Amino acid sequence: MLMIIVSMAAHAVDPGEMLADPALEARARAISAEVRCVVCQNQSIDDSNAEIAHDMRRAIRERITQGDSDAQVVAFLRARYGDFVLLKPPFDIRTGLMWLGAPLALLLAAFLLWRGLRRAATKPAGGAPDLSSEERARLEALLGEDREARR
Amino acid sequence: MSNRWLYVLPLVMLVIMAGFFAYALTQSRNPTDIGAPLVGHKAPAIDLAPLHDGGARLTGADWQGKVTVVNFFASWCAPCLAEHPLFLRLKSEGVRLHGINYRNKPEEAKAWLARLGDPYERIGADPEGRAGVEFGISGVPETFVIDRTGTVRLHLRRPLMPDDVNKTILPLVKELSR
Repeated sequence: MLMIIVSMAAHAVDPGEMLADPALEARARAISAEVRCVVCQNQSIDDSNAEIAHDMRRAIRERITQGDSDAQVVAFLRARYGDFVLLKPPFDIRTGLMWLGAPLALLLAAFLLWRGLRRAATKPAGGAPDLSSEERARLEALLGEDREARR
Repeated sequence: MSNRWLYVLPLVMLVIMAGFFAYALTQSRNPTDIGAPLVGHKAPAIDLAPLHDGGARLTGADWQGKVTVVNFFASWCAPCLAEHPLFLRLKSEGVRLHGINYRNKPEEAKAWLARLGDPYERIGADPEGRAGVEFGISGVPETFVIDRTGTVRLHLRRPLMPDDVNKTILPLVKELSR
């Protein structure tokens, strides 16, 4: 049972390709989970069984073993495969609308809602305009006729 | 304030969406296109054992001093078969051409080349795909043009078509060789 759990947690990573040092292996796994497989539909290379994903995992582990920092490893892959390999796109001029669009839409909606609510609160309840004195007198007269008629 | 402009809001949204669709459809945007980030940068320093017995190793020194075309190929790759005559043509045009035999059994690659002709000056064997990752390829075939200083000038992530040779590679090699 333990074996099944362990093998399930290991995804596509072959035990043979893991690093002996658990700390380095953990770093390799963290990087792999953020790197997009170049021949799969939005799968990380950590999840993919494609040969190229295996080759990229191996390159990551080799570079980590050689003493590269996480940023250097990602830069290595990015120099060869571009932003395409990053499952989390970087924040720049081209992706600004994507990153900020949803929060901005939310803020705009919140502003419009707040303004709408404030407008409603300053209006009299029911929203009916106040009657002028003439209208009030006429209303009284009509109601008076009605009361007379019922008696 | 009136809610009058709310009536035009659907129209405004339609125009914005139509704009996005028109942009995506006409600018030939392809979300599966990896691009060629290696272009403009130095070709990676590799050192591959030769495919042929008694051949020379393929290293970064093999694209110094002369414009070079480097092609990743394998005998199991059908598009490689389709583009192969074009490499025979590049060779006949006097272009320096090196091959990298990607994830291929050497005996199968050698039989394939014996059958079809071997246009490559040198062939490095890349049985484990290490040079593939160094060059940033996603599969085979892929082709690079490297200038005299070792800088990548062109990266095609697909099999060559006759027009790629006639209109892109041959003029580029000529221009870079000047």
